Parts: sequence; C-alpha cells; structure tokens
Amino acid sequence: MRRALAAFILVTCITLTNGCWGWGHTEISDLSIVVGIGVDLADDQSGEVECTLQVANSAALVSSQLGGRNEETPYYTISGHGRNVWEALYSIHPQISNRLFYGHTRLYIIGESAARQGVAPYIDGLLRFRDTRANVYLVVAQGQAKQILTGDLPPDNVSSLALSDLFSIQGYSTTLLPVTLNEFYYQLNNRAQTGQFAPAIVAESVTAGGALNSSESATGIRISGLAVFDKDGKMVDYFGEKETRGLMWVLDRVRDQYLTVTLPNQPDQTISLHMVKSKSRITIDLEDNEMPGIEIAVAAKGDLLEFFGVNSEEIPPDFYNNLENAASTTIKQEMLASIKKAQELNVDVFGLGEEFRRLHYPEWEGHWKDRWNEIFPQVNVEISVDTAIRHRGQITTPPGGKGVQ
Amino acid sequence: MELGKISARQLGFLMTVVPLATVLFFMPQLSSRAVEQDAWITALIATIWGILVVLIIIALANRFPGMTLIEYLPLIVGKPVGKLLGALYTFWFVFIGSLILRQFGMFLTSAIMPYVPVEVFTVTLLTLVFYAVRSGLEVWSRVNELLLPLLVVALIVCLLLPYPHMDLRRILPMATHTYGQLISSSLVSGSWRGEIFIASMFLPALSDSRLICRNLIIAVLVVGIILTATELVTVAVFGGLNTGQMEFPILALVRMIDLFHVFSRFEVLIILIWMFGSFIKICCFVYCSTLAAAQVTGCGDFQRLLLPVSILMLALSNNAFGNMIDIVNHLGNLWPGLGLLSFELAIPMIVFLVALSRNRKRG
Repeated sequence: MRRALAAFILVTCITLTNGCWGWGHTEISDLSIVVGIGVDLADDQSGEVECTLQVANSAALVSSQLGGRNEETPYYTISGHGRNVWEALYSIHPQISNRLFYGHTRLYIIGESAARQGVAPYIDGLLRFRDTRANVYLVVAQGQAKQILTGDLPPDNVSSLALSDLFSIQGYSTTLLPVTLNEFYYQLNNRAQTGQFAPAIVAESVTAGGALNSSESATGIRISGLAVFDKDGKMVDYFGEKETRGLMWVLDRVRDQYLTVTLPNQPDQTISLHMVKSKSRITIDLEDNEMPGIEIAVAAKGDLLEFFGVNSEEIPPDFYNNLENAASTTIKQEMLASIKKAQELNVDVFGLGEEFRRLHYPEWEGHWKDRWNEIFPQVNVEISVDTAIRHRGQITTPPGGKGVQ
Repeated sequence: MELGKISARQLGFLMTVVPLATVLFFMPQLSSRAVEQDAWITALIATIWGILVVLIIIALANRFPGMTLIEYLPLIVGKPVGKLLGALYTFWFVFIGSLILRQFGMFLTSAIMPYVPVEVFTVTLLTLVFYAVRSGLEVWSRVNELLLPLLVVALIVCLLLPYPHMDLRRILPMATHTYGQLISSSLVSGSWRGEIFIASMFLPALSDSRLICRNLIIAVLVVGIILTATELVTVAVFGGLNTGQMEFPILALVRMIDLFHVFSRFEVLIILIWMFGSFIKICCFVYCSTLAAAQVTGCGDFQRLLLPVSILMLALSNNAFGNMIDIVNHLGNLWPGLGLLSFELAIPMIVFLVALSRNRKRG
C-alpha cells in the first residue's frame, strides 16, 4: 500500500512537471519562432513604439533548405503599436494563432528615429525577458527597421538570419563590425562615458535582374557602416566605410581585412593586401596637465593579394618596404578619419576614456573624469602604424612581364 | 544517536557543495554591485574567512571529540546559555534551510518555468530531501560523491565556453576600492563560505577524523577558486557594472554561449548544478536542523523529529520571504549579520575563547 502510494505520488510529480501536460508545456507546433525584432517610432507622431517581428515560416524554411523552390515566403512580418516595446509586442500576439517564441531571436533592429531618441529604453525589455539572449546582434536601420525586416539578402531570404550569419561568418572583415546586445549594454553602462556603435543597415530598392532570383522582391539590404551613439545612447551620426574601418583598427577588431593601396611613385598600379592580423595598443601620456596625449600603436600583418598593373620584372625587394609604408599610411589615414569624425561629434566610440580609466585610475578619478567630455574633441591622438608583409602569394612576378631578358 | 558513518573525504565533498550550490548564483551579482570589477578579490578574501571558520570548529571539535556543536555548547558556557544558543542554532538551521529552499524555487520560476507555482518545486524537492535524509547520512553522502564531480565538470564547461565574449581588460582597473569596501563585501561572500561551520554537526559521524582539517580547508579552497573564476568570467563578459545589475549573472553567462550555432543553450547545465547543489545543501540543513533539535531538546529521536522539522522549513520558506527582490536584499544586507558576524564565525569564536579560558574539555 505504501509503495503504491509512493509510486502514485512520484508519477504524478513527474507528469506534472516535465511538460507532457500541465504547467508551462508548449508543443513546438504551437510555436511561431521569432527570428528578428525591429523597433521604430510610430509614424503618426504619437511617440508610440512600433514593433515589427520577423517570424519564421518553419514549413517553407525547411523545404527551401531541402532544395525545393517554394512559393511561400520563408517568413512573415507583423507589426504592432504600444507605449513601450512589450506593449507593442503584446499587441501582436492576438494577431497570430500560435504562441510567439522569442528564444531564437537573432537580430534586434532599431529604427533610426528611435535610435536618435536614445536606445536605452528600447533594450531593457529584451535584457529583462527570460527568453531573449544578450548575444543577439544589434543593428540600426537607416530609415525604418520594418523595411530591413522585409528586405532580402541572398542567399538566405530571411533578413534577420542572413544578417546574423553575415556577422558571425564574415564579422570583422571589410566594414562588418558586429555588435551584440551585451556589447552595446556594456558600452552604454560604461563609467568612462564611452560612446556606442552598432552596424547601420540600409534597405534600398534593387533593380530588376539584380542578384536576386525572385523578381517580386523589390528591396535589398546592405550594411552601410556604423551608427554611432553618444554616451547617453542617443544616436548622433553614421560612420562611413573609411571611418568604420578606422574604428576597427583602433579597437583591434580586425580579422580578414582587405586593404587596397597605391604606391606614391606608381599611382596607376593598385595593390591589394589581405590583412590577417592586427594588434593595437593605446598608451596615455599625462605629462601635460591640461591635455592628455593619446598614442595608438597598431601592428598589422598581411599578405600581398593582388598587384594590378604591369611590371616587366620580378618585384624587387625594396618594393615591399615601400608597400608596407603605403599600407601603414592608408591604415593611419583611416584611423585619423575615424578619430576626426568622432572628435567632431564628441563621441568617444574608441573607448579612449575607458582605456584612460583602466590605465591611470587615480588620475582619472581625481582630475579627468568630469572633464573628459569637454576635452575629448581636442585630445591629441598620435598614431603609429607598423605593417609587415608576410607572403607575396603564389606567384613572384606579375603576369605579362615576359620575363627578364 | 547512531546516524551513520561517513569518511573524511565524503564530508569534504559535502562541505564543498554546501557553499558552492548557492554562492555561485547570488554572489557575482552582490559582489559586483558593491565593488564592480574587483568582485573576484572579495572571493579571495572570503576564502580567508572560510579557513578561519574551519580552524575554529576543528579546534573546538578536538577539545570535544565525538560531540556536535549543540552537545558541547552547554559544556562550555553553562547549561542555560548553552541550551539557549543551541535553540538559536536550531532555529538558524531551519531558517537558512528555508531560505535556500525558497531560493531554489524562485530561481526556477524566475528564469526557467514561470508558469509553475513555486510551491511545486519546494514541496517536490523537500519530499526528496526528506526521503534521502530519512534513509541515512551515508546514503546522501554517497549520492553527493557521485554528483559533485559532475557538477564541477558542468561548471567548467559553463565558465569556458563563453570565451568569444570575454574581454579580460574589463577586470581593469584592478583593486580600486578601499579595503573597507572590499572587506565589507567579502563578509557577504564569506557568510556563504562560513556555512562550512555546519561540518561541526557532522564530525561525530566521521569514521576517521584524522584528515578532516586538511579536507575542509581543501573544500574551502576549491570553492574559493571556483567562485573567483566565476566572478572573473562574469566580469570579463559583462563588465563589473553590468554584472552587478543582473539577477543571475551566471545564467546570463551561459546564455551567451553560442559556438558555431551548434553549441548553444547550455542552461540545462546551470539547472543541473542548481538542482544537484540545492538538493544536497538542503539535505545538509534538514539533517543539521533535525539533529540540533533532537540534541537541544534531549529527545534523542532523530527520525521522529525529521517530519516536523521538514514541514516547519517548508512553511517558513513559503511565508518568511516574498519575492526575489526581498531574497536578494536579504542576502545582501542581512546575511553577513546572520552568518559570518554571528552564527558562523563570531559565536563559535567566542565559545572557543571561553573554552580556552575555562580550559573546558571532554571528560
């Protein structure tokens, strides 16, 4: 009798709590999986939040992955309004028969108008919620987040998944500087008044016969650079390609970077380098009591990728020294452009203040902390770049030179 | 009262799990809230508190071999005060046990199963604990021997896999807080580490007490290393300020894991650590409360007191604490006063000094 009773209690407990039925159970077929969340300020001047969800259409997604072309789109987007993010999200819930599941969200898009108002209020809901993760990528839409979620980026037709893959596969090359929600949150909460940045995405119409197979879709999306934010999380401006790369060199977030330079004495020949490694080091010089001096030293390493021009003989050894210098100059120019722009906007996206605080904490607390914002635009930044060429590639002489007679 | 015999190693394992089970979940938040990126230093200081506690209870136990804390208290400070202290200790065991039980349920409802009433978790776990403790000390000590290695492996995985998100420069600037701030924060951490004093309730059950001092100190050091690593990793991933603003930094840490889109969603490891750890920890507290209640009342019947004590613990856990905010505030503000500064370190130390001055020994 006692054993039977114990068995009964155990079985009851197990069935109640494991999700077969009872509390908190959800069947996967009852779930609609959200892959991207976009937030915008509503158009109607009400100051309300408009949330757009990109929800995976799992049936279509699977069949397109198996190779079949499907008439159905692999996702659908749906929008709702509210006074805050979660009110807007909950206004979407009754529009869908399934339960929305946020655990697989890969991308969080903030519309430009919302970003300019200040991002801080928009990320609380996501950080607080138990399903969403802080490792989602955060991007800013140049325009409206909604447009990005309906745009296309081949080969994945679901823009959130495509962008998230783009960041995780190709991140830190060209102008791709991925920013996770955690990273943004860290910079926003920084004690050293650091500015923040997030990739800026632009949706634009693609002409017929472009890269997209489907003639129906009219918008493509691409990454245009970075959106930069001041210390309070309000977006102030965009960084273009050059400034973005400059920032990447300073922050040491370079992997697989490409660099095209011309030598001063041969302006018609362009030479490309594949930068495989870079290391930056920031030192702070406190000799001047009024204005600290900041030195950024970058050591980059790369391979010769292309020599675009005609050269009748084997490339001479001193050419590589010139090339190294030219590459250093180009990197330096990119960094300078980035720093100049940041100083004009007065946003310390490089975390120079933070580096200052880390390296010289007593001086920072005693003297510079309150003045950093005022002096940052005038701070003198010295840059030294040292590029080293590692390989010249698989051929030694450019083709077409007919050899040395 | 013959309750079973355990080895010195088993006790060492038990006393590793007891602080580890909950300190990992609450301390990163509490210490980072107080001293931001210097959180790991407080974990190191707390290790010293833990070793101090071990030395005192071992010194006391050497004077009164074969007796528990509750039994030798009246011999040292006299029967009225000793019995009163014994009753307070009994209540402390029940109270802290109920707090752990509540934490257990609240963690699961806050992060994992929000629709399930918290009582489902607490009642289920306590039923299991009741069954385990009733089966004898040997039984659940052995279960713990099986679980602890699993728990440590799970923890190492949780701490290593978020490496792509780590930036060790976030630990700088180092040691910017005053000694006062660091030590006062280490008292919170130390109150968990000082829980090791409940070993004094287990010492008579040891089959061989030769290596026990060494084993307990190793237990303190192991917990210290793991806690320091956890706080370093959480700060490296989230930064000092943000770690202090998260409810469960270690859960957030595991949620950051996403290697190649394949190795992700490791929360189950955290739940594993939490379930196993809490189970053993509550076993220890139920055991200690019951044993203390039996010895302080002199009723001597462990098995008969087990059920009322368990039910009291359950009732307290449901009524003494409100929401998560209460629990965390309680842990941050009240816990040092209730732990290291009184029951765990201060009282045993005073008792030990009295025993020294009066030269009280067994026999």
